This record gives sequence, structure tokens and C-alpha cells, in this order.
Amino acid sequence: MTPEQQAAAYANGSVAVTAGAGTGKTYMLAERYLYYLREQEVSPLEIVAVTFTDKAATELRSRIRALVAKQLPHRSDFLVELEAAPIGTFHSLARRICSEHPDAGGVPHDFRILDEQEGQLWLADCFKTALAKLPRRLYSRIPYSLMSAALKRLLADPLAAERALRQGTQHWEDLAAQLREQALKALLDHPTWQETWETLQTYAGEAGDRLEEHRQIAVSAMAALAQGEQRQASLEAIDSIKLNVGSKKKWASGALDVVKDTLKRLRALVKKALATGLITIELSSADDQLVQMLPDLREAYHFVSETINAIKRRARVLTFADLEVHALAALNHSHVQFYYQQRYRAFLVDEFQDTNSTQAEFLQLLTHNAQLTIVGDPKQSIYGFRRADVSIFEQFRDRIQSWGGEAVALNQSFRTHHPLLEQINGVFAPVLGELHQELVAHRRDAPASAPHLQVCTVPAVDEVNKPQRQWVEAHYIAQSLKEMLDSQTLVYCKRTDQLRPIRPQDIAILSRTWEPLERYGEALAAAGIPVAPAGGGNLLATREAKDAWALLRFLADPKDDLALVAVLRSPFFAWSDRELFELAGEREYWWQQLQTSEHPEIARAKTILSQLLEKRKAEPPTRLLQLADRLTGYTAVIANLPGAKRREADWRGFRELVRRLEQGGGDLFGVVRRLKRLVEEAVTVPRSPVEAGNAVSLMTIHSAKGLEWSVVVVADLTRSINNRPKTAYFDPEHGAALRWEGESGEMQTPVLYTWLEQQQLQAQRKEALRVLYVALTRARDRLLLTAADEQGGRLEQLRLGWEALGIPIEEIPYETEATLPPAPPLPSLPDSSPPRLLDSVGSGVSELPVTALSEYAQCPKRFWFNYIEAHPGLGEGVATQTQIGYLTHIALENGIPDLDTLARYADNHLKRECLEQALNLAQRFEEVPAFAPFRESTTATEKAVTLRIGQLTFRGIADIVGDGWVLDFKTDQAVAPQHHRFQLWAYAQALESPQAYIAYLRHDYLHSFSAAELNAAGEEAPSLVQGIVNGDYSAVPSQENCFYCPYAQVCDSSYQSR
Amino acid sequence: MKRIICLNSGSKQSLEKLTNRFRGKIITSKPQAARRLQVPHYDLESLARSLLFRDRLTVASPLIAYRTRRDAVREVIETSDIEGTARAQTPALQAIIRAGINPDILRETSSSHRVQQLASLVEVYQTLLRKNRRIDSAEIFWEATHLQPERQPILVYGYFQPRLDELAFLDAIAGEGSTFILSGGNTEIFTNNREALQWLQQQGWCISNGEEETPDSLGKQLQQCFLSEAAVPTGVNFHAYSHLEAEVRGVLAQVKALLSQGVAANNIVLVARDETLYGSTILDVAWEYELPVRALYDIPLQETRVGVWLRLLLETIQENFPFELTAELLAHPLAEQLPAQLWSEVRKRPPQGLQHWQELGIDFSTLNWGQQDYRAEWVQRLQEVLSDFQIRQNSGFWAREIVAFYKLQEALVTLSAPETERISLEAFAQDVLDTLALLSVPAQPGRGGVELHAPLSLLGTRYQYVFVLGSAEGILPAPIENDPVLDFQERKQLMRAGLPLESAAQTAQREAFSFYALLEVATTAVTFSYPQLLGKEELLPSPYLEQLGVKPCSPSSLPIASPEEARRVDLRQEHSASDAVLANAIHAWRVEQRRESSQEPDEYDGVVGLPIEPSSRVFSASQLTALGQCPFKWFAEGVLNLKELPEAESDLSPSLKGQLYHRTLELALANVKHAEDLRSLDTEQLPTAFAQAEQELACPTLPGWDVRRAEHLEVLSRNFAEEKFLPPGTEIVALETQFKAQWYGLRVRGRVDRIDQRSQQAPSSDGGVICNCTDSGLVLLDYKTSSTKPAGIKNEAAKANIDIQLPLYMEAVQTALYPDEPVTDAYYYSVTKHKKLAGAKRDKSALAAFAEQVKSSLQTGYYPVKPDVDQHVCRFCPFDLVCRQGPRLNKKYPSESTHESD
Ligand code: SF4
Repeated sequence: MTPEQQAAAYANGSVAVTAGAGTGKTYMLAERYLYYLREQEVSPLEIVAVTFTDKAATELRSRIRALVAKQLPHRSDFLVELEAAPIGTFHSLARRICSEHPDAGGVPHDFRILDEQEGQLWLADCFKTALAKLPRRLYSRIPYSLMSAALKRLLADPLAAERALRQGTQHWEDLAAQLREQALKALLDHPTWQETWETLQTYAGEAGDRLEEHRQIAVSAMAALAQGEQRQASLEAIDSIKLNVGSKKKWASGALDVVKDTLKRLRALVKKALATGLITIELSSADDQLVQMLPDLREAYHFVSETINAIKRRARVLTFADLEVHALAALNHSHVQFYYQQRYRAFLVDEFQDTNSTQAEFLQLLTHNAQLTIVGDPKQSIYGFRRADVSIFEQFRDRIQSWGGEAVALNQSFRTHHPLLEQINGVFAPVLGELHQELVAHRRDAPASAPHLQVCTVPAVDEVNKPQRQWVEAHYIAQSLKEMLDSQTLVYCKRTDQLRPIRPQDIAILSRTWEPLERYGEALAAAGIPVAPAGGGNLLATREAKDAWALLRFLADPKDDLALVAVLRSPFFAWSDRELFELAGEREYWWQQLQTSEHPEIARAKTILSQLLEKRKAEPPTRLLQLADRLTGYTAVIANLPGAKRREADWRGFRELVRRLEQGGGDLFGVVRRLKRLVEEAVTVPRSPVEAGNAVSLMTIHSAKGLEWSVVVVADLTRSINNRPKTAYFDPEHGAALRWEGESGEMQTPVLYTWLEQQQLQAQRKEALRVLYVALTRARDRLLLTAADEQGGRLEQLRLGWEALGIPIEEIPYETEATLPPAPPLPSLPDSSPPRLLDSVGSGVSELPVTALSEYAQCPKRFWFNYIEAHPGLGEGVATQTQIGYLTHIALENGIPDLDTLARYADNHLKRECLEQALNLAQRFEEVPAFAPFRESTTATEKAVTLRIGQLTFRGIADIVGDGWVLDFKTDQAVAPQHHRFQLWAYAQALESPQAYIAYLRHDYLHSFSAAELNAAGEEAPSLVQGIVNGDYSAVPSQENCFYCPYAQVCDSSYQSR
Repeated sequence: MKRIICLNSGSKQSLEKLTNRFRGKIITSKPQAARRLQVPHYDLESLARSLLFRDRLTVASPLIAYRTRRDAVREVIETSDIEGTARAQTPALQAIIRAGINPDILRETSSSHRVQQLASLVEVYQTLLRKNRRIDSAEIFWEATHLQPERQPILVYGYFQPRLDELAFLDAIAGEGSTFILSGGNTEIFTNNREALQWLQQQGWCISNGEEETPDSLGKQLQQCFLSEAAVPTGVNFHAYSHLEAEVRGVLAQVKALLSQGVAANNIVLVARDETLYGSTILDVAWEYELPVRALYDIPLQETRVGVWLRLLLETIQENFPFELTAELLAHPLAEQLPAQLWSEVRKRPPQGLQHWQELGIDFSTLNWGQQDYRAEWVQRLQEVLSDFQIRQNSGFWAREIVAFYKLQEALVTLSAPETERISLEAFAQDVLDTLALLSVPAQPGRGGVELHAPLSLLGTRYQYVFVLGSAEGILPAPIENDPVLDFQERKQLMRAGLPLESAAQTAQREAFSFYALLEVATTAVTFSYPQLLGKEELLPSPYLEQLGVKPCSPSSLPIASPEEARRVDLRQEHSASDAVLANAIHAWRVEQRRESSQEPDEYDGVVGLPIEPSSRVFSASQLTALGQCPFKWFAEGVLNLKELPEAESDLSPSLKGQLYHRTLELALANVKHAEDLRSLDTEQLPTAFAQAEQELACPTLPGWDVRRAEHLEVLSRNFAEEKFLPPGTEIVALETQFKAQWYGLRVRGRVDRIDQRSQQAPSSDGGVICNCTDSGLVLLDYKTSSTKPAGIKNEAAKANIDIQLPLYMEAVQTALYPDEPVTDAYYYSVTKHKKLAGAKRDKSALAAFAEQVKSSLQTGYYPVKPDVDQHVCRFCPFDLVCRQGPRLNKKYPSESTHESD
């Protein structure tokens, strides 16, 4: 460990660690944990470690486990307790608090977390219900659509919303003033303004020249603005400057053009300033209206949030966002705080820069008396859209210091080599301002020659449009990476601390949004470089999901023409449009139309779809999809198309989604209806990533957090950020504001709204910069930054940095082909041909009761129901008969004389008559003379019997056994000894008894098997066994067989159903 | 004769000898363990139950236990959430009972409020149970021990890690000559057992070391590896797969290979710590492989068809038959009561409420439930519904469902008691739902095949081949759950005071021990595996495997185990042509590959090549626009006659809103000619018109419609105050006028929203000119409810911005309706933004060229999938499912590829 790492890990009290990228914070955290175990004898159960993701928690636990095993081998108690230690995310911590203090937190005792996708729909419904119940007067000032949009935003951040809605309106005047001054300052500080001022001072035309007049107007307006006076008039004066005037003669040579150009730029700048209206912003009627709206909005908010909460309480669900809110509510109770103070002695919080204010608050309450270690990097705070607030890190750091704790900064990077790190430092120093942290490289030398950091953009050329330039960018990335791979560029290997040639898995392409990554993936694939796209985009928008969805839709409703034709055109059947054209006809719907044709291609689709329709009741949708694949070869098609891995993952992903929607019930109709809603409401169902392997990673910068690669490409740098104004903005300190359309059609924008919007924009700009910081610091050895335009977007944000370092922005040279999308390669064929096992391997049965043999002989299908499926059979009669048989045996075995005793063995809803019957039957054996000889010479009862025939073992229990004989009781309605011949043969065989009998208790009849009968049964047995083993279960329907069969109602081959 | 503890599990032979010699009851932990001894399975619990039974004590069923807990909570804890509390308290309550801790002692040990409360809860709960001579399932052994049963010789096998209560009972029942087979040792992992051993010795048991199973058996060697750093024996594999399904495929392919080599299914076992995580995937892949596999783990009734249907039923009744729920209830495979005809009807006009459904002829008479009734009556009603819908017969199609049905029937008996208790519908429904959560059935009942088990079920068994799936951190070992009522720290406190609860450490050790014991099971080979990705999460290998010293690798060539897999490999290779499915797949693949390529579209991509006579069709402006936007869109609609099935909307869709606004304006303006008429319009005119339009269009009743409707009215009425809506000097001459005409040789039809007569240049109030067209004449208006002008047909750059509707209307109206009046202008007017959006641009030659293009498309049957470059058209096009548009089009039409849409 470096001295700083040590200072952090071994700090005596609380500590705040600013950990630059790659400075070994996870390592330090694990050491810190160990420090508590070793030096402070704290149990793992008393240390809370909070990580940003579940994956990080798993990794931390695994790291600590290894450390403890190595450094504290004698402390196995730590090792085992570690498994139960609270190491997890904020969510899991909040969840624990909620479940331990449900009453204080105001949650149901046994809440569950709402499923993400379906939950969204459910909540949307709840929201609509709540809006519909809102008292009507609240809509008098805020119409429905505005109310709905505003509340939706407020509800997304309930804590802040509640506080915001409590704010007064008295400070609005100040905010207007602030806005004016800021805007004016921004104008005066603008480089164009300053240049203009100088130029207009330098040149002057002769008096009387029209342009000179305009110059003077501009100068005096600028002067007035510099004093902050006559703002509107001055701005308008500049705005109305005319440029198509002036005579060259009245100006020194060239001056006229210079002045014109300058004035033009000034005018443009002012036009922009005027358009925002900020420099002259004042409270207006919009603000008066907002004052009137706010009480209604507040009331509506409380009503709606209460209503939704009540619905959630009834359904016993919480959303992920609710957890934190309720945990905080719980922690506001002193007994809850006390509870945790008793338990937790130390807190370790990672990625602290991405903490939001709710989390901060509950952490504050939780850590009152405990030691706190926070680790973070404010430069890497990139979760503003999840309400992360970078200033919280600073607040906590200050607090820790003011309470005698320490602040440590980890500056030494173990990731990036010195020359590259110097450049990264240099790029960010001028733009990050106070946040900047100079990192020092542990690794001095670069593994390969410079350049280590390149910025390349596609030059603007007429006739080449944006999509084409984007392809140029993609091709360029692919070519650059291919060169690196082909030339075996050396990279540093962290594991071995050696240099080695680069592999695809050492590379990542990062971009802010998901969309362009698909393009890079295609370009790389075309260049023969394997890619591993992390899941991105919406599963339901993939073709594979759509095909499967169309199929399910059709199966659920064969009248769904659109779905059917989609299926017919899809790889399930691949019909041509000509075939469709020819078939299109008069019938009410397409499925009917299909029936009219005998064309072989159509017949095939008809047969397959009919087969699927037949199964749609019996099989769940997931199985129907499998069956469709079996019948059509769908997955064989997608597995051989370009991007096969991605397609297969989407097919699988869709089946997984369907499985979740089945909820175990497996009902096609319900699944299709639920899917329909997901599709209609455009709910994003995340796709699962494709297996990584040795491939170039493609991911968004946000998902690259915490990861590193040798070579990182940060692409698509000129994409513009789309900032559509929102209906409402709010923050807990300043309040909430709306924007709406006035009666005359123009937008009404109160000052507070503008102010909050400005704040938001500013925060976004800063965050965009931090996102870039995260992206650039993922690289160990080399960085390639690319853009499809020469300027704009984030490229501008770093311009100061490039300039300071003198890094040139290189042009990407290209030919026309580079503007075209590449031809995607087919997936590679396997190089070996593995063995094939395509046939069934039999039933896998190895053990059966002896009675099974008889049943198989009677009807293999019935055997299948009974023994393979363990189907208990239908019809009360059958179940009762089985019970009576069972109880008769019990009575005989235990010599039970009375009903009450016997009743204790019976199902409690068995009728009394049945018990009586069983008892009577048992008594028959005692009374009937034909059975007397056996009563007297019994040597054993309930004798366990095992017999092996072929590959099967049969087990059974012979009722009574005597010297040389075996006897079985039957309570059957009919006397049919031949049905039981195998059973008796098996007993006789296993017990080596020459004689076998059945006592029919209902008929007072004794059947004795002849030796020939037994022998015949014995000879027949092996072939029955073979049938069972082979899985041959075809039915043998007959009136007699089916009449008593408990499966007759569900058997499709039964005698009745024929 | 002594009572003996035999300190190792013994070889097959020694066990056989032992069992053969043994005269007494043989007790086994699980059926699998019994199989090893070749004896019928009889476990300790059955023995204890039979003793209790003799003493007329019964073990409360899960349902009764739960209800009693609820009663106890009601008595002890002040809360409005009785059910939730009862459920949340259950684990802690059972932990106390299982540990045999007396509530009084618990109360004395800790002053914490939770503990005090728990103590009272336990006390009340047990007292309530005892009233009916019942006990909780967690106290079976303690109770049986208290009965001081007569001792008998028993042989106990498979209880390798006995709990305290098991030990106590074992000691109480085991007579002279008994043998208890246990494992032990000096390492950490045996801590729990060492304590057990000591205690048993104090009770007079003797230790015998028995006959050791050959120490070089695979299992023994592996156990050594786990405890110390021994070399890993051969026969041990650890495979990493990319995802869970790949893992299951890999494992089952190996299983299939073994079976086809003649290994019996019962010599192979699949092991998963979390069976539910793997169960369904295993069953699915096994289905594909035609491989017999058995998954016997329990799933709650609420996840069976019977359970799902019952929940639907109760929700439907409670929410008074809302459309979606009721439809799902009827369409469910257990009910099958939604015939296709009825379905297409109800989806157009969704019924809400019992009566509405009844009117459609659905017999819901058995579903008309009240709000309050006696328990027995509720159950009776439910039974009637079940028999009315023939749920028993329908469940019979699946073994699992009929088992679930029978379970439910048993539970209903319990639910109907006490008969005289009157409860609300809500309470009854809750009771049923609780029941569905408490009871369970096997995931896949039946017999035969390779079984899937959790490690614990395999204690004391032997299989030749063991496959352990999910050997990943976070799955194996299972994460240790904290109990919210009695957390690990609280337990620690109580333990320090001498109460025998289980600590976090013990739980972890128990888990480790069961893995250790699992290692012994394999006799020939054991294969561990794990998925590197689970959903989106990356997984690490299990720490246990690390401890074993085995590193993951990718499996070497696996057999192809199903025709589906074979086709994937064969599609592009030499193959036997016998597989008809493959032949079709190859065709489909060629088609799809071409669609994805840069090649020209062909007959699989809209190029039908068969003519349609243009004059045989009448086109609306929107159809022509469709043709000009994306020919396939027109083909799908106009030729294939495809459309979404008609269904009532669950929200006000843009199209319905459009219709509503149009019709309202038509009605409201019926008597309006000039701007002045607008000012003097009756205030009721618009609302009345709106109401009539709503009715005509059968608008669905949406939540909050009254306020939303008020807003729509407000938006509409603003038009009347807006001068641009009807400028002075303009007269409305016609509303919603239909026409039919010839247009460049095509037959067209249409409907004009409004036709105005502009008498002279119409000045606006601020003196500006509203219309840049100075001629007087007829002006056509098309109302829009959006704020932008509609997309047109594609221009040369493939952007959909050439409007043909307005010029077409102008020409058609001129020729067909007003040959004598000049039609001078036409424009789109936004009735929501109250402004003119765009006027007609007439480019005769372009229009003529387009008309020619339309004719040629039809004559040559050319309808490629070719939307505008920005794919704006696709956004609201219903045919995306059919046309297969997407990034593939970028390759077909590269110079027109799509723009970024950030
Ligand atoms: S979705 Fe797009 S490409 Fe497909 S038919 Fe509709 S408009 Fe054409």
C-alpha cells in the first residue's frame, strides 16, 4: 500500500478518502475492513459496507474473504460471520431497515419489491386512478394534462418534492435579480463581447457613414449594458443594427469589413441573449398565476401520493425508490437510531460521490455514533439523473474533518502509465476547475510508442451526410483497432506485471448513449474483430422478440391477421409476398383463408400452426415457443445470420420474459395481454448482454464505471444532448415551478421555473464533463477519441484541454466506401463436428412398485399416467376406493377393531360409511371360512419384497406370507385375478413361494394361481420391462379397461373419446 | 448392548452388513439415503409423529398454524397489519420453538422489546394450539421427547448434521443396540457435530469408528481437498458457461451422453443449491433433448394454474368484474369460457361490472357474491364456482394441477371452520390467497429420470455421476438471510446468555458442511459448473470451489443433443437432406440473409411482381400518401388487408382524439357561417356537440374523464376566440364534405373538413395579412390535433415532406364539387395550438410524376419496404411486425440511412 492508502486504511477514526481513478480504492477498502477486524476486534456483523452495485458487493466480500483467510487464518469466526455481514448496496441497507422497523417506516411487515417492468404499468394505473379521484376544484387552475405531467415529475422524487412544495414565494424577486445579473455577466464575459469591444474601439469610420452610426450605437449600447443600465433598449439597439450599409471610402482600408464582421457576431450574440430574455427577466403575470396554482398543486400532490401509497400498502409492495424514503422515515425515530447504534460500529461507503440526498440523510442518522469511512471521487459523479448530488461528498468530508476525522487523497494511479496520465491530467486541469486532482502514475513507461492519446474527427464534406460520417467514424475505429491487433501492439498486463500483445478483450469502445455502439459493433464485426455488446436498448424492439410475440399473438387469437401474416413472412415460414398476394382473399380472416388452399407450402404452415394451436391450452407459452422452433427450425436460421450471438440472446431473453409473465400459471391469453401492454406502453425491457469472452467490449460510459481496459475508444463525441424543457422543476430549497400554455397559446414561464431550469442545465453541463472524465480514465495504455463531426457536443467541452496540451485534432481520411455500412460477416462455423445424440434415451425409470407391472400389462398409457406422471386420477369414486383399500390394509395390519381408531388414519373428510366399509372388509378376512387356513398359518405380514427384472427393480409389500405361500388382499369391485398375475408372480418369485393367492374381501372369494399361470406371467414380464424402459406408453383402450380407469376423462385415447 | 455412534458413513459393504444384521427400525433422512441402504424410507419425523399420534397430539397443518399465529399476533402485538406481522414474525417464532426455548426464560434473558414481544407471542401461540391438542411442526421432536417414549433399537442414517431437537429425540427413543451414523473430525467444519458428539457421550453413547469407506474414493479425496490443500483427484471438472441456459445445455448434454452409454438414470444426479433458479430451464432443455429429468422441489400453489386462476377469480369478484381481469379469468385454460366470437366482441366494447357481462350472455350467477357471510357459506360458494367452471376436470390434464386441486380441496375444509364465524369477502379472499401461498406441490411430480436435488437431500447417498450446477458466488453457498425480528446480533446476545439459537456463524458452517457432505456423494465423477452471466449480472466462481482448489475452464466439445441444435450446426454445411424442417430453415435463412443484405429487395421484401390495375382502385389521400411514404405500408393495408384487431382504447389515442375533435367541430359549427356567428354561439353549443360526438364514437369511459373532457372543451373553445380560426370576411360554405374524383388518371376520394369562401383579402386585427394568397375564392381547411403538419410523401432525399393531400383536395374539389368557383387555397389548421400549420404547395409536375409512380408500382407489383429516411413513417405504422424494417434498411438504401435520434 502507498502511504496514502495506509493513512486511509489505518485511520484511527472516521476518514474521507478522495480516490482518483485507478488509485486502488477497492484494495484500500478491503484493507480498511480488515483493519477493523484485526485492530479493533469488530465483528463483521458490526461493519456495514455500502457499495454501488450488487456486483461490487460480491467482489468486495470475496476480496475480504481472501484477505482474512490469508492474514487472519486463525480467525475462522470472522470468516464465517463474514458470510452474513451487511455488505451491500444502499438499497439492501434501506430494505433491511424497512423490514426491521416496518411500523416506524410505515411499510407493511412483509412487503415485497415491485417487479420492474410490470410494476411500471401497475404504478401508471395507480397514478391514473389517483388523478381521477382528485377533488375537482383542484383542476380549476391546473388543467388535467398539466396536473398529470407535473405530479408525475414530483412523485419521482417524493422527499425533494415535499420540501419544495413547502417553500414560500418571497424569494422569487431575488431569483429574478440573480438571473439578470448572471445573464448579463455571461454576456459581458463572452469572448465575442470582449473582442467586439476592442475592435469597435480600434476602428471608426468617418462621421456620417451609416455603418459608423451603427458602430456608435453599438458602442454606447455596450457601454450602457456594461453599467447594467437600459438593458432592454440597449439590447434591442444592437439587435436592430443594419449591416448592409456603409461605404468603404469612409473607412481605413479593410476596416469596414472588420467592423461589419464584428458587428455581425455581436448582433448574433445579442440575439441569443434577447431570445432567452434572461437579462431583463422580471416577475410577471405568470408568477402571479403560479402563486395561485401552488396551493392546489400541493394539495393535489399530497392527495395523489397518499392515494398511491394506500394502494401500495394494500398490495404490500414497495418500489426501489420507496425503500430509501421509508428507511429514512424509520430512522427519524430515536428508537430505530438507537437500535442501529447498538449494532453497527463502522460504516464503509464506496462511490460516495454518487450518493443522493435521501441516502445522505439516512446515512447521517445511521452513523451518529459510528466510525465512517467514505470513499469517492467527485470528478466521477455521473448519476445526476438518479439524483446523485456531488456536493454531498464535500459536506460529509467537511463534517468528518470537523469531528476530528481525517481527509486523505489517493493520488497514485496504478492503472494508467505516466505519459498518458500526464496528458489526461493536462486535458482536465483547465476545464475541471476546483475539482481537478493531479494524479501520479505508478507505472513510469508506456508499453508502446506515442501517441497515447489521439483525437480524430470526420471532416465535413459536402454531399456527405451525417449518417455517412458516422459510418466513417465506425470504420475508422474498426481499422485502428485492427491495426493494433494485427501488429500485436504491446500492452501492460496487470495480472503478470508484464507486457504482452494486445487481445480483443483488452479493448473497449465507450459512448454516452447506447445507440451508436451498435454501429461500431457492426464495423468491428465486418473487420473480423469479435465484439461483446453489453445489453442495451429494448428487448421488445428486437426482431427475434417481435417474431415470437407475433406467434404468441396469433396463437392466442387466430383472427389476428396482422400477427399471422407477420409469422408467415418471418423465418418461421419465410413466405414470399407473392404467395401472400395470391392467397389474399375474401374470407373474414387469414387463418380461414389459409384453410382454403392445398398448396404444399401453405399446407406445411397450416399443419404446424394447427399443431401449435392444439397445444396452446396444455402447454405454457414458453413451451409453445420451443415447439415452434422444433417444428420450423427458427433458431437454426437466426444462429446462422450475422450477429447470431446477439440474436440468440434476444430469443432467449424473450423466452425469459415470457416465463416471468407466465407467473407459473402458464396461461397464453394472460401472457399475451400483459405483453401487449408492455409493447403499447413502450416499456423498456433490458436485453441481456452477450457473453464476453475474448471480445471488444461495447458499453455506455455509465456502465463502464469501475472497469478498465488497455485501450479505450471514447466515441461519438459530437452528439448533441437533447434538452427538452420539462413541465415542472423543483428543488427542496427553492420550491417547485411549472410551465404551461397560456390562453393565448404562448408558454407561461415563471421566474422560479427559469431559475431552476438554468440550474439544471448548468448541472448537466458539469456532469457531462465528469462523464468524459470517467470515460478517459478507463484506459491503461491508450486512448482514442473520435467524433463524426469536427465540432460540437463534448468535443467542445474539452477544447481548452486539447489546446493547452497542444494535442491536434486529427482528420479522419476516408474514401467513399467508408461512408457505407459494412457487409456483416456470417458467424463462423464450428471447426470440429461433435458427436450427435439426437434420439430419445428412454424413460429413465429404474425402480417401480410391483403393482406397476400389472398396470402396464393392462394399459401402458394408464401406467404412464399413474407411475411416470404420478397423476392421482380423477373422479371421487376412484379416490374413495383407494382410501378404502388403504384403510382395510391398515385395519388388518394393526388389528384395529373400532371405527374411532381407524378414523385417525383416514383423511379427515372421508365419509363415515367408507370407514365402516373398510372395517367390514377387514373383518371379512377374519370371518370367511375360505380364508381360515391362511389366518392360522401366517408366518409374516407386510413383508417387503424386492425383485430385479432386466434393468428394473420392483419393490412391494406382500400382505401375508406363510410357509410356501403368499397372499394379497384385494378390495376391488370386480374379480379379475389375471390383472394381478404379475404382482403375485413377483411376490412368489421374490419369496421363493410356490403358491400365490388373492383374497377378494368384497366377494369372500379366494383365488389361487396355478403354477402355469405364474410361469406364464414370469415369461411375459421381461418384455413388459423392456417396454417400460424404452418409454413405450401407447394406450390400449377397451370398454373394460377404460371403464374403471381413473384417467378416462383426460386420456385422449380413451374408449369413450373415440 | 450399547448405543453406538458410528463415526463415518462407511462403505457400501459395511453398511449392507450393518443393515442386514440390524433388527429394529431403520431411520433414514431422505428417500435417497434409504435407497443406498436398500430399505424403505422412514424418517425421524415420522417416528416422532407416530408417537404424538398415539398421544392424540396432532401437528398443526400449515394453514392452521398460520391462522393460529394470526390470532396470537392479534392478542399480543398492537398493529393494524395482522397478516403481515404474522408472516414476518414466523421465522423468529419458529426458531425459538425449534430451539426448545421456554418463553419465560426468553423473557428473562433479554429486556429488548422485540424479544419480550416474541416471548409473549410464542407463549400465546403455543397455548392456542394446545387448546386443540395441536403443536407446531417446529416442536415435533421436543414434544415427542417430552412424552418419554419407550426406547427401541434404531439405526439412524443420513442425519449427518443433527439439530438439537433431533438429537434430543434421538437420544430419547434410541434403545440398547441402536446405531447412529454421524460424521466427525477435528476441523472447523465439524464444530457443530463435535458438540453433538460430546453431548451424546454424556448421555451414555459410545463411539465406534466403524469401517472406513476406502479413503481413496473420489468423495473422500475431494473432502480432503476441501479441508486441506490436497491435490485434486481426477474425475473432477469445473466448467464455466456464458449463461445459465448454456450451462444447463452443457450439463444435460453430458447427462444424455452418459445415459446413452448405458449408465442408469438413477446413477446420475443433478444438484442445485437453488432448485427454483434452475428448475424451469432444466425442464425446458430436457424437453428439447428428450431426456428424462425429474424436478421434485416444491412450488407454492399460487404458482400453479389452479392457484393463478383462483387469484384471478377472487380479484375479479372483489373488483367487480373489470374487463381485463374477467377476460383473463374466462380465457384461462382451466375455464375455457371465452369463445372467439365473444372475445372479438368484448374487446371492441369492453364490459365492466357483473351485470354488463351477464348481458352478454355469460352466466355469472355463481359469482354474484355478497360482502359478508359465514365461512362455510363462502367455501360452499367457492365450491360451486369450481364445479360450475369444471375446474376439477380441467385440472386433470396436468398431473401437477390435479394434485394442486386436491390440496386445495383439503385446505377448503379447514377454511370453512369455524362454521359459525361470519367474515367479509375481503377476509375470505385473503384467507384463500394465504392458503395458496402456504401450500405447495412438487414442480414436476412423477417418477423416473435423472433427479434434480438440493445438496441437503443427498446426505448419505452415492451416485456415480454428480453434476453441481450454479457453483457461483452468491448461489453456492446461498446468501445468509438476516431475520428482521431476531437479527444475528440479537441472537448473539441471547446465545451469550446461554440460549441455544443458531448464530450467523453456525448457519454459514451448516452450509459449508452440506457442501462438504455433498462432495462424498460422487463415486466416479463430479462436474461443477456455473454461468458467467446471470441476467445482466456477472458472477464469480463459488468460494467453495476455490477452497477445493479447482479452477473453472470451458467444457471440451459437447455432444449435439437435439435436432434443434443439430440444425443450427448443419444449416450451412453438408448434411443429409432427410430433415424437412432443415430444408425449410435453409430457405428461410436465404430469405432473411438477403433481406439483411445490400441487395435489391425481392419478392420476399415487397416486390410482388404481379400487377394490379390502377383503375380498379379508389384511393384516399392517406392511402396515396402511404404509397408515397413506404409502398409496403400500402401493400400491407390495401392489398393484404391487414389491420390491428379492433379494440377499445384504454386511453385517448391520437386517432380517437382526432375523430372526437373533428366531429365536435362539425356539429358545433353546423349553423355557423361567419366569425360573428362564433361570438354569438350559445355557450352550450360546444359541450352538446362534444357529448354527441362522444356518444357516436363510443368513447370509452376513462378514469378522470370528466376533468379531461373539460380540458378538451376548453382547448376546442379557444378556437372560437381565435381570429385565425375563422377570419373576418370569410364564410363557411361546407363542413365534412365528401368527394370522388379523377386525379391524374387515378380514382380518388376524400372528405374535406371545412370549405370556406374568402370574399376578399382578409385582414387580421393587427393589420397584417393572414393569408398570403390574395385571390378571393374557396379555401379548404384540414383540422389537425397535433402541433405539426402531417408527414407527406418522400422527396428526392427520401424525407417525407411533400404534402399531397392539400393539393389533391384542391384539385379534386375544384373538378368534382365546385367547377365554377376558384379554389384558391388550402391549409392545415391545428385545433389544439390554434394556428395555421402549413398551406398547400402545388407542384404540378411533381404531383403528376408521383401519380405515374403510383400507377407503375401497381402495374409492376412493386411495394418494397422503403420508408422515409428518418423513419418517421414507421413510428405510427402498425405494420412493423410484418415488414421487418430496422437497421437492415440502412444497408439497402445506404445514402438514405437513418439519422441519430438521441
Ligand atoms: S413500419 Fe415503416 S417500413 Fe414498415 S411498413 Fe410501416 S412504414 Fe413501411
